Amino acid sequence: MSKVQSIRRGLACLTVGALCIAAGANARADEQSDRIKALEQRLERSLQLIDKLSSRVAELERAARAAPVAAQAASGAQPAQAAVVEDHAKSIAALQQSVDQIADGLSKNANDTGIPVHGFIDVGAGWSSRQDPVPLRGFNAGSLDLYLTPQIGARVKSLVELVVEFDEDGESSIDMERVQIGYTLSDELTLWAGRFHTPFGLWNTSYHHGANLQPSISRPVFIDFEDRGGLISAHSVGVWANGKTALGDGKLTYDAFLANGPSVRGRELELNPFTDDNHGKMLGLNLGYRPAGVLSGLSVGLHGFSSSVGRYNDDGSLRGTTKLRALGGYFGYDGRDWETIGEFYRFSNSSDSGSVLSNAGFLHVGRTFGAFTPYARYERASLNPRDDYFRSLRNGRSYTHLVAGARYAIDANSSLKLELRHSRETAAAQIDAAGAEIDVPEASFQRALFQYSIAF
Amino acid sequence: MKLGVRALVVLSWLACAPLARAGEVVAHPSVLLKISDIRDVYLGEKQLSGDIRLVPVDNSATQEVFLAAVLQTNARNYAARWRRKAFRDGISPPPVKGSDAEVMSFVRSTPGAIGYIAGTAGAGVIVLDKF
Repeated sequence: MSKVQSIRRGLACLTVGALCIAAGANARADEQSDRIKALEQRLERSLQLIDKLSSRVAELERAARAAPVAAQAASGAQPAQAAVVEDHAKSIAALQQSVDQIADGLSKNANDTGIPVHGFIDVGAGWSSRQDPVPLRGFNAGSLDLYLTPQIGARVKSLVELVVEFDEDGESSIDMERVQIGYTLSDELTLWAGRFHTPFGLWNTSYHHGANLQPSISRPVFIDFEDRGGLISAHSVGVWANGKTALGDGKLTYDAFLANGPSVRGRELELNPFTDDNHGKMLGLNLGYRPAGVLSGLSVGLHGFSSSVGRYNDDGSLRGTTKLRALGGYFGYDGRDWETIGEFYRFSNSSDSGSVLSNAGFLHVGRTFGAFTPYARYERASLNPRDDYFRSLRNGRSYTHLVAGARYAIDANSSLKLELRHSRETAAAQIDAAGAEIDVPEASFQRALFQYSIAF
Repeated sequence: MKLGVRALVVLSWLACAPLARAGEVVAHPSVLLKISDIRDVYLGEKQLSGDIRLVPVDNSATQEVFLAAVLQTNARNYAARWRRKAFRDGISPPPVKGSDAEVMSFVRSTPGAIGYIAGTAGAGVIVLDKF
C-alpha cells in the first residue's frame, strides 16, 4: 500500500470515527429532546391548572362579595369559604414554584447541548460543450462542509471547517479548510491565527464554501479555490486582525493580515500551510464602509495585498520568483430584494522578465421575487501574456464569462439552482508543470449546471 | 359631525399607539448597555459588555414581534443573516428559548444574558427597553 493510500485510508477512518461520535451525540440529543418534550408537557399542564385554579379563586371571591347577607345568615359558612380560598392560593403558589423549577430545568437542558456542528451539503449535475477544459457529462456528488465555532470564555473563540469533496478526477479528499483561533480584544478588534479565508473583497469571506449560502453555483473564476484553478490565494495561513467601528452613522470595517505567501506548483497555487517557501510573506489590507439609514445594506471598500511567489517545476527546482502586488476595490448591496457584488483587482507583478500590469473583476446582480432569485454575472480578466505568475497557472489567461441562473428557495435551509455559463478564453503561451512553454489555443464553451443544496 | 368623531377616534388611537407595548427586553443585572446596543447584540456586532461576554437568547413565543419591532427584519432574514455571520466570524447565533418563563429563568441565572419577553419582567433582571 502506498503512503498516499495509507494517508487516505487513515483520513477515511477518522471521518467514519467522527461520524460515529456524531451519531452517538445525536442519540444523546434525542434522549434530551424527549426529556425536554416531557418537561414542556408538564409545564403546559401546570399552566392550565394554574389558569383553572385562578378562575376558581376569582369565582369564589366574587361569590363571597355578592352574598354578604347570606353570609351573615349563615355566619358559620364564611370561615369555611375563606379556608377554601386560602387552600387554592397555597396551591397556586406551590404550582408557581413548580413552574419556575420546570422552566429552570428546561433552560439548563437547552444550554447543555455541547458544541453544535453546522454545515452544508450539495449534490448536482452538469453538462458542457466540447471545448470545456473540464468536460461535464452528468451527475456529481458535490461536497459536505462541516463547521463548528467553539467559544471558550468571554474572549476566546475558534472556527473549524472541514470539507469532504470529489475533485475533477473523481478522487475524494478531506480538506481542513479553516482552523483558526481568535481573541476578542474589544468589539472593535479581534485577532485570529491559523488558516483562514483570505479577506479580500466581499465574496471570499461572505460565502466561500457552503453551497447553500452562495448566491450562484459557481464562484467567480478569478477567486475560485486554489485546487480549482483560482488565480489568487483564497486561503491563507498566518495572523489576521479584523473588526469594525462606528464612523458617522455607519461602520468602518477593517482587515489586516500577514500570512505565508503562496507558491506555484503543478500549475496550481499552493498556500504553504506548513511553512513558507521563502521570506516574502503575504501582507494585505481591506478597508470598507457600511453606511446606515437609506443606504443600509451597502458595502464599499478598498483592498490590496502583496507577496513573493515562488514558481516551481515538477522536480522541485525553483523556476523564478514573482513579486505579486494587487490593489482594487469592491462594493456590495444586500437589501430590498437585491443582491449585488462587484470586485476589481489591478495587478502590478514583477519578476526576472520585468514588471507588467493585469486586471480582473466581476459583477454579480440578483433580484428576489418571492422564492425565486434570477441572477447574472459578468466576469472579465485581462492578464498580461508576459506575466510569468499567471502564465504558470492553469487558468492564467485572459477570459470573459457570462453567467445566468436562477435560485429557488425551497425553504430557509434548502435551495435549487440552475445556471448557464458561456466562456471565452484567449490563446496564450503558458508554462507547463515541467517549466516548458506550451501554446494553449483559444477556447469557447458553454456549461449547464444544476445544484440542490441544504444547510443545517 | 360623523367626520369629527372619526377624526377624534383616529387621533386618540394614534396618541395611544406608542404606549401599546408588546414586550420587554430584559437583561442580567451585570449587563450595562444602551438601548441602541440591543440591535447590535442580536446581530452579533456587539459581543462584550465590559469584561463580560454578552449572551443573547431568543424567545420563540415572541420572536416575530421582537424582530419586527427592534431589528426591523423577519425570522427568515434573521436566520440567513446569522448563518452568514456564524460562518464568517465564528460566533454562534442566540439559543432559542420556548417561553417567557424560560427566558426569565435563563437571564436571571446567567451573567451577560439578554432576552425578551411578552409579559412583564419579574425580580432578578433589569429592563433595558420596551417594544
